[in-house]
This record gives sequence, structure tokens and C-alpha cells, in this order.
Amino acid sequence: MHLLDLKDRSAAVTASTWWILGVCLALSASLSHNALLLGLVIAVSVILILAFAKPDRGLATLRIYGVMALLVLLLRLVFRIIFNSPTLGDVALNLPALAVQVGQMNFYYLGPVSWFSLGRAAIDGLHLAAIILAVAMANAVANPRKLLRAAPTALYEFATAAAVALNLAPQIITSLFRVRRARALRGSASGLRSFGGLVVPVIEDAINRSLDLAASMDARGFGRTGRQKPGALAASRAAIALALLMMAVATYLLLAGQTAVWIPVTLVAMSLGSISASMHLANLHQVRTRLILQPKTARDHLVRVAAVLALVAVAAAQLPSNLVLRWLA
Amino acid sequence: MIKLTDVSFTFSGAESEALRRLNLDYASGEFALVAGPTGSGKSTFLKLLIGLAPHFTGGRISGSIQIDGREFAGGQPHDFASRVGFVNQQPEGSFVSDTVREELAFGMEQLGIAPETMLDRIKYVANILNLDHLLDSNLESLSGGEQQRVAIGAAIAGGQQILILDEPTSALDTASAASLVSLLRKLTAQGITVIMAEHRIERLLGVVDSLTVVHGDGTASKVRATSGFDQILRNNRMVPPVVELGQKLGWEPLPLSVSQAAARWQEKPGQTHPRQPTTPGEIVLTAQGIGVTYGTKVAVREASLSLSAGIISSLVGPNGSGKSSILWTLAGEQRHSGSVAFSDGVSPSSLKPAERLSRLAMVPQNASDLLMLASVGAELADSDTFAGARPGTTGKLLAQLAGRIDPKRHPRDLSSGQQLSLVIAMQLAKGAGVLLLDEPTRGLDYVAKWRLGEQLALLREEGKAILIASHDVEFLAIVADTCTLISSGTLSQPGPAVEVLSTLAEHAPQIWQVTHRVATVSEVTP
Repeated sequence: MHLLDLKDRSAAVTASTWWILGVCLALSASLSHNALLLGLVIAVSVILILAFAKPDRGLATLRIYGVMALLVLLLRLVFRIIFNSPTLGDVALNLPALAVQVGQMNFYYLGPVSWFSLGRAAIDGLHLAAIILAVAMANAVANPRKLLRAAPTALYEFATAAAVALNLAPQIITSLFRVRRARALRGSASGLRSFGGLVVPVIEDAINRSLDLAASMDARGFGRTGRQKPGALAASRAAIALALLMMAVATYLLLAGQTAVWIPVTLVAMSLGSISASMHLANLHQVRTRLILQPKTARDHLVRVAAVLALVAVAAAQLPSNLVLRWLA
Repeated sequence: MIKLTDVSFTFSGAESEALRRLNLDYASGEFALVAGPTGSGKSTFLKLLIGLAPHFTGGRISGSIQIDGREFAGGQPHDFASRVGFVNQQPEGSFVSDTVREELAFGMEQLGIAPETMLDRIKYVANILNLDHLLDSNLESLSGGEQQRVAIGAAIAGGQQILILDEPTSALDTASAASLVSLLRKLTAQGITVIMAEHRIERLLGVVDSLTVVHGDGTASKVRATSGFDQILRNNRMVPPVVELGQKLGWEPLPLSVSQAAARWQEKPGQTHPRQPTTPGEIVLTAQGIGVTYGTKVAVREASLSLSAGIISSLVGPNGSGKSSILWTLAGEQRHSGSVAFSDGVSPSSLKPAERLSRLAMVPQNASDLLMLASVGAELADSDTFAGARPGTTGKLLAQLAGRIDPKRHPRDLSSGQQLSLVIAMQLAKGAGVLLLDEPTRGLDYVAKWRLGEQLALLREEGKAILIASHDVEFLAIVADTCTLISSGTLSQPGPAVEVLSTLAEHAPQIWQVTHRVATVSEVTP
């Protein structure tokens, strides 16, 4: 396969294509509670990391995000066992129930856990694990900072905030290793204190470095607005803020899974519209240029179309079937 | 080119101004050095020139900053970006891309430079900065010096005529630092104004066009080379060895570089009194054929060394040569091959941290990583409890090393020198006989360095076996008894410090290069 000839295999498609793929995978996972589909998302993410990320970066990502995903899955199961509610089905774990009385209220913990409720908890966990791994995939294969530099001027404040945030997690991990090793030299006091001793320098370090990055980007001209009129600038920023707010609400609704799917989907569509409108406004006064070092190829378009189609298919499967039938009729 | 008129800056919430009534100007093509004690406001001054102060630091600015006649005071950093390039202390933290080429392009993309022009500019910048062969390299794979050059390239690729650098050589070894300085000189020849803050100025005084001193009270004064340097250096303690030698021998004017001092020395040499070698005590820690590998990379190969009581040993070598790996191995916190053992055969890695601390203490490169509590007093008390020592033991040690430090102060508000002393005191509270220090002089000004040297001499008298890993040859010339060179993970034969350091030719201690007999000013009299 000629992909193997590439010096850097993550360059098989452009960074933005990797992120579109990652986001589509994550969105598909967040829309579905189907164990098979979630398993597929996880499998695809892991295979992509192993096949396309640089070996050391891929392994580091798998270690960190894999542990995180596993932790989420286990926490879900443990919580289900502790905060148990009576359900139907065969009993998997017959634990004694604990009743705790607080004032007039009775709280029950543990008790018999059914296979059915364990299965539900596992799927909930898998759901989050799949989202985590899909984002981890994009992160491992394509440097998120690369996307950031392409962020439209209208998104400047948010992009800077995102630069700080995106940089924080990996930064915390490297600082954590360094500080933990250093702390072993002092051999530390116990428990909470040593935890504080670990957290304070790590957070301090990570925040300082992230701010340094943001400062350096700004000092190199990131966020220049050209000759845009102040009024137009304020309007486009307001539109973006509103759009991001809608996105946040939509994400919450999707993950909570309590409302009909069409509400968050409409919100996402509205916010996308709002973002592109303000981007259009901003682009009228665009001062930036791009040095295209890696042009998009047919392969990019193929991957993008496939990713979006998969997402649409998953989303369509979530709609109430009578609604789909009415549309088709 | 850039002109400051009555510029003052106050941090938010601060009562007094951090910088006061600055009236300075810098000409086109000027190589300007900014010096001053730690915490004097050098960094803040540089940040003013690119708008990072007040926009990233908070605070208030007054006065006028004009660049090419245009007013910039109060502007955002991205407004300055087309005129001024900025290079951060840690360039690797400022990178936005994966490869050198993309990194060089980033700033130009933001400035809206046409893609064809960008390609030309990238070629031009890569050429003057010797980056041609690295254009497609991954930024993470570069050495510290190469990363520094990429950061400089990225800062000026957009045609910026002013380049600002904050302590660019502090993390570089002597050779990379020297080549960086000659590179900056090359840029000034192209008309670029270079304004750079630095602690280690021994290799800069003879090269720069002007010296701006930021005083502790927030004022700053600027003098031009070389006539102006004399008065500002004459009564200053913050001076590099050659200048100190000139002060001691009453030379006029003061020498600024080794060659100037060497010429004066030939005319009228002073007396030299080589230091008596310290007699080593018994060997307390021995490493036999240790090797360290990270993945496929060999960091240390077949290294053997031993540490003796009452001796300050040192490891000298460029960045990435394996110094830190050896220290971590000796401290028992690094996976390695070969053996490390105390004189009774016990290996440090077999001991629990608490037991180990009664025999061996290490201070890592980021000493502040070991500080975790909210006040100096709390750190001291915690250290006493942990060491099982009488209350006040660590405090007494600290007072001995650094004088009195208010126990109510927050450890993170201390100067780097004070933090270092605190950590050394804490690590030695349990009475360890071996002390390992990794790059202890990073970020210390001359006065703080001397103080550290005195502290270490004190500990040597108490019979501690001390090992310093460093590339600061001037510091080692003062404190070290023996020295071992390390390059690419391989150790040379250890020898008396002066002898070994003198083999470093143009990177040897300045006083050695002048006198060829001794390596420190204290060994010279008129």
C-alpha cells in the first residue's frame, strides 16, 4: 500500500480532515446507545491511532486516554452498584442492601443488582469511552494547534481560550510526570498533603505554559482584525458567542439524552448558521493568508464525505421512525 | 526606531510602579543588552515593548512608545506584531506547529503576507539562521539551540525590524549560547534592532552596542558602548568575571571581553595564588558502568564515577549529554544498568525515599517542584517532622545558608536563589552526606550565584560529598574541586576542576583565558 511510503503517515490526509473525522465519530457515539456501534467507534479510533499516529505519540495517547476511558466505564459500573435502584431481570450480584436514614428520608445503597441494569451502566460507560477515544484519535494524529491557527478571526477570543484549554491537558500530564518524580526525592508526607504538593506545582506550571503559548501567538499577530469596523466586530462576536452557547446546550441535551433528538440537532444547525454568517462578515476584511503546505486531495474529500454520511445515518436512526416515514412519504 | 517617553507601568493592585519614567530609545540595527538583578523588572520591560504588558500581565501603562514615529502604547500584542518579534524564555512552549516550515509561516499568515512572498521569506530566514536542512524537521526533534533559532526565525520572518528576546541563552550550553550571540550580531548587521535581557552577560558585554540597566527601584538607565559601560560597571557587584578582575586590579577602562583583559594582563600581570587543592575524604558513593536508555536512545553509556566526602565534584557537558540522567541514576530514581552503591554496599534505589534522605539528597532542575505548602514556616516544620529532627533543625540550616527569610512568606514568592536555598536546607535536614544538584545556577544572577557558592563551600567543610551537573563554567571554576566532562553520554577522566575546565578552549572560564594560571578572581591580587 503506498500509504506506507509516506514519511509521516498522519499526513495521509490534512489535519482538518482528521478532526472532521474525529468529531463525526464522537458525535455519532454521543447520539447512539447501541453497544455494537459504540464498540465500532472505539475499534476504529484505536486502529486509526495505531496505524497513523507517530508510534511514541500514539502509544502515549492510548495509554492516557485509554486509562481515562476505562476509568469512566468502571466508575459507571461502580456507581450503578452503589446507587442501585430496583430493576427487573435476573440478579447478577446479590449484595445486602444498606438503608441510611437522614431525618425523615430513607436512602438505600447497594442491594441486588440485575444483569440488565449492569448492562445499561456498561453501555453508558461505553458511550463516554467512545467519545473520549474518538477525540483522542484526532488529537493523536493531528496536532490540535494546527486547527487553531486556521481559526477565523471572528473566533479570536474563543480560539485563544481554546488554545489555552487544549494545551492544558497534555501540559498537565508532562508536568505531572516531572513533579511526581521530583517529589519522590523528598519522600513526602502522607495523603492529602502530598496530593496538594503534587497539584499546586503541576497546575501552576501548566497554566503558565498555556498562557505563554497564547501570549506568543498573540505577539505573532494572531487575532488581528484588519480594518473591520468596531460595530461589525462586536456584532460578529456576539453572534459567535450565541452560537457557542447554543452548541453547549445542544451538547448537554444530546449527552443527557432526555429530550427528542431534533431539538439539539436544530440548535446545532442554527449555531452553525450563525457562525458561518459572522465568519462571512469577518472574512470581508480578512487580513490573513494561508501558506498551503498540504493541499487537500481526493482522499481528503472521500474521508470527509464518508465521515459526514456515517454521522447522518446514525442521526437518522435516532429519529422516531414515524417521523422518518412521514419525510419519506 | 523605538522610542520610549516617560513610560511607567504599574501592576494591578500594586502600590508602587514596577517601572518608572523610562526615557529610552533604540536605533536601527542596535544590539541592546538589558541587565539587572532578578526581579528588577527586565521581563516586564521587554513585555511593554510588544504589548504583552499590560495585555497579558494586567496593570496600567502611561507614557508613549513610538515605533518608526507611530504611537503604540496601550496597543494589543497583535498590533505590535508587524513591527516587533518576540522570543520567549522557553521557545518550545511557544510553538504552534509541527514542522519548522509551518512555524516560520505562522506569523506571516497572521500578517496577511502573500503565499509567494512567504516562500521567499522562509528561504531567506532559513538561510541566515542556518535552518535550511531542518525546514521539514519536526520541532520536537530539535535541540535547544535549534529550537531557539526557529523561534527567532518565526519572530522576524514577517519582516519585523525589532527583535526582543527574554533570556535566550539561559537554557543553552556555552557553545550554543556563543553561536546564538554571533547570529544575533549578524541580524543587527541586516538593520534589525535586537533588544535582549540576560543574566549571564560575560560573553555579551564585548559584543553589544548598548547596555540598559533596570535598577531594583523600577528606573532604568542606558549607556552606549564602550565609553558609557565603565561608569555603570565600576561600582557594580553584578558583573562578569573579567570586569570583576578589572575592578580588583584597578584597570581603566574596565575590560569588557577576554581579549581586552588578556591584553591588559600581558602589559601588567597581577599576582596569582592558585588555590590549594582540597584533600578528599573517603569515598561515599560509587557508580560502576551505569547505562541509561530511553526507548532506543542511549543517554548514558558505561559511566563510572565516585563521590568523596568533603569534595565538590562536577559534571560538565552540553544540554542533552546525559548529565541529568546520571544524577537521577545516582539518586535511585532512574532505571539503569550497572551498579550504584554507598560505601557499605547499599544501593540508593533499594531504599525508601525517607530512608534514602538520611544518606543522599538531590535538588532537581526545577527546585520549586519540591515546594508544596503555603508558607516558608510550614515547609520548614513539615521538613522537621518528616526528617524526625528537632523542631527548628531545617530552619537553622536555612538561616545558615541564606540568612533570615520571613517564615510567613509564600515559598513561590521567594526569589529563585532563596527557593533553591530552602530546598537544599529541606533536603539536607535528615543529615544526608551526599548532595546532588542539577543545573543549580539556572535563573540566578551573579550575586545569587556567589551566595550559592558560599553555601556549598560551607557544606563541603562539613564533609558533605557534593556533585553539581552544570554548564556554567564560571560558577564551577569558583566552587568545584574536581570536574568530569560528559559528551553524548560518555564520561571523560575526572581531574582537578581548573585543569579540566581549562581544556575547554574558548569556553574555558574567563579568568583562566586571561591568566592561564588560575580560574577565579579571588586567586588574583594586584
